[in-house]
Amino acid sequence: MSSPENNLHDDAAKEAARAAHYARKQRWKEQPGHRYTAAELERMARDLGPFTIVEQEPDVMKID
Amino acid sequence: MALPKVYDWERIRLALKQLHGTFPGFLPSVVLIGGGAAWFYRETLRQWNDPDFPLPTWTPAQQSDWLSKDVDFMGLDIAEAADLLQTEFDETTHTFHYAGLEVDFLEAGLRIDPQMVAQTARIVQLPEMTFNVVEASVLFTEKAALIRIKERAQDRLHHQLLAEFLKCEFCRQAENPMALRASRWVARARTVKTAEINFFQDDARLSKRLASAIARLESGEHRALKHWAKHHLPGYTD
Repeated sequence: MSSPENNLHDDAAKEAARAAHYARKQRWKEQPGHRYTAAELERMARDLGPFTIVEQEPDVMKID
Repeated sequence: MALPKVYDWERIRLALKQLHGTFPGFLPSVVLIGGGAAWFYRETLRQWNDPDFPLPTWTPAQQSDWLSKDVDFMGLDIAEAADLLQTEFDETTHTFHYAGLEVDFLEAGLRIDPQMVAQTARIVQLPEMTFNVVEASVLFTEKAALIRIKERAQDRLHHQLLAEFLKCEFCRQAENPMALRASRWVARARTVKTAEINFFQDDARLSKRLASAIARLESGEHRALKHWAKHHLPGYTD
């Protein structure tokens, strides 16, 4: 049952899970070979080729 | 899991194409976030080659911190992703291993959630496919929060890059009235200023160029920028 106390516990549990997740991810990222080198980043940029980032078209509500 | 030796954009492109081909509903329903998203903004800033806001230069050590080889999305929870990818989630790496990619699905960040990123996402258009990428100002907000509480080198690099990208984009859009969408521009400006109160005050390059561009706007539909500038942009006079 939802109560302010239970919600606090839920929030604390979520925060603890998130912190553990970040720590685990960071450990993975820091292992040798799990990050791109400067040379790899340059090669990726070269190989990417033409691309664009566009905005979503807004949803328009039409009223007849 | 050992990563392949050849691990580059072509591999990511192939994996994304494979994902798109095998699961046609996948890419439209997820949003690229994290360092991968920041990298696309980095490459956009490089393409713009703007004299006021060039791509930052990084030391070799910083380059090595810039981007890890996992790819983060929002939009599916772990169970949904496992079902769709038909792959077990690896708890030790917090990723799915898919076609040589380490793919993660985050359900919440410090400031972002799947609903927010989906509603504001932009679209990356490549010749062979399109996919969603987190809105730059939203990712900036997340990175600004992260650098306040975490000591992760990549967050500072992404934050720096996104700040430069956004400054450049605010100016470029204000300088192009034909394409300017005033309400979006102002909404992004408010998002960025909420994340960093001095964003529009601390950089003379930005405030000078922006003030000049906004002062030149003539259309009534751009009044929102002039009104915003009066209250938030140092040195602006109408």
